[in-house]
Amino acid sequence: MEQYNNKAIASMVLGIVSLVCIFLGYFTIIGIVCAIIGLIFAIQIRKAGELEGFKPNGMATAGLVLNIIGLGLCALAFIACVACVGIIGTAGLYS
Amino acid sequence: MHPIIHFFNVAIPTFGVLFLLGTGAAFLLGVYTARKYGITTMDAMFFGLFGIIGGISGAKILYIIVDLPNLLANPETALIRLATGGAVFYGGLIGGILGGYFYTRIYHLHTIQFFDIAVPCLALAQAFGRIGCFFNGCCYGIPYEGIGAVYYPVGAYPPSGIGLFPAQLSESVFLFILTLVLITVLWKSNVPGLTTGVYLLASGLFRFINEFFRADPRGAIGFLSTSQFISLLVIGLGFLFVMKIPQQLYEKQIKQ
Repeated sequence: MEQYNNKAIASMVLGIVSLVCIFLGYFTIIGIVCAIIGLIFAIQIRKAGELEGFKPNGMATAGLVLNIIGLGLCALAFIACVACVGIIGTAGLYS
Repeated sequence: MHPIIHFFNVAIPTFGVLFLLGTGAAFLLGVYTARKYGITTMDAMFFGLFGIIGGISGAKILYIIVDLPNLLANPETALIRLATGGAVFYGGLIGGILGGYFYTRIYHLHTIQFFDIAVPCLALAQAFGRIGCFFNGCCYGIPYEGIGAVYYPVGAYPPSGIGLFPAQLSESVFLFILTLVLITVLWKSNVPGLTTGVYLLASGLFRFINEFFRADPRGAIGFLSTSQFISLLVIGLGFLFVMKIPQQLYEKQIKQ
């Protein structure tokens, strides 16, 4: 159980970091990496809870939710269609 | 068009918004399709999340592999380029499949059934993504002056002032219809893997044809575009799924 508690804390912290990274402009990739690691921890805890028959604590749930939101918002800023990279630069024409 | 949406002085890429909308819609649809095989919502969601994680990682890793000579040649800008742009769609697709496969392998779940419930969701997410392409102006069509021709404004990425075939919207409409067809196949069929096969066949075939109506600059292998070449491989894989060959190999592997 101790390892799951540690992973739950790590997952929640990584979720918070990923949310902060949304405001880092170019470096939202750091947020994506944090959210991915946090999400893997959160999923591990949830599945272990299901298989071993214990209820994951609140921090694990918070970690799951925060990492999903963090990944989504970082992806929003980061992901662009492959051919679209140059197009973003022309955005000023329409603003 | 509208590559950027301004929301309280924050510029948000339209493609990103539609990508998120598509992902959300795909997850909701996944909850419904998972009922076919009695898969829990949690497993369906985690499978999808592993797919997304694999997709993002795969798109970036393949970009690094493809662009490695340029990144090494200009190390001073390499970090910025890695952090900002650069993702290869097919790397994302391969990574997404591997991510989902990895999840089912770790937790000893039926991989083919999971792919079956995932493909209608993938088609739906792709349909939203193509609308994002339309707003961005990328993946544009050949010059065309018939019904539904698109005229992009001056300064946009595609050629302006002439009518263009709406290649992005035609693919989007096709993918929305394909989503409905796949849901029907999933519920009517009792053969695991058939839905996956239908998706691979239909999407590969349409993409192959639609590429002839696209005019944006992209890579080529011989007289075919890169996407057409990959579409042929996808169609071949779809045939194998319809012929139940991967299913038989998978069952053999499970028995061993």
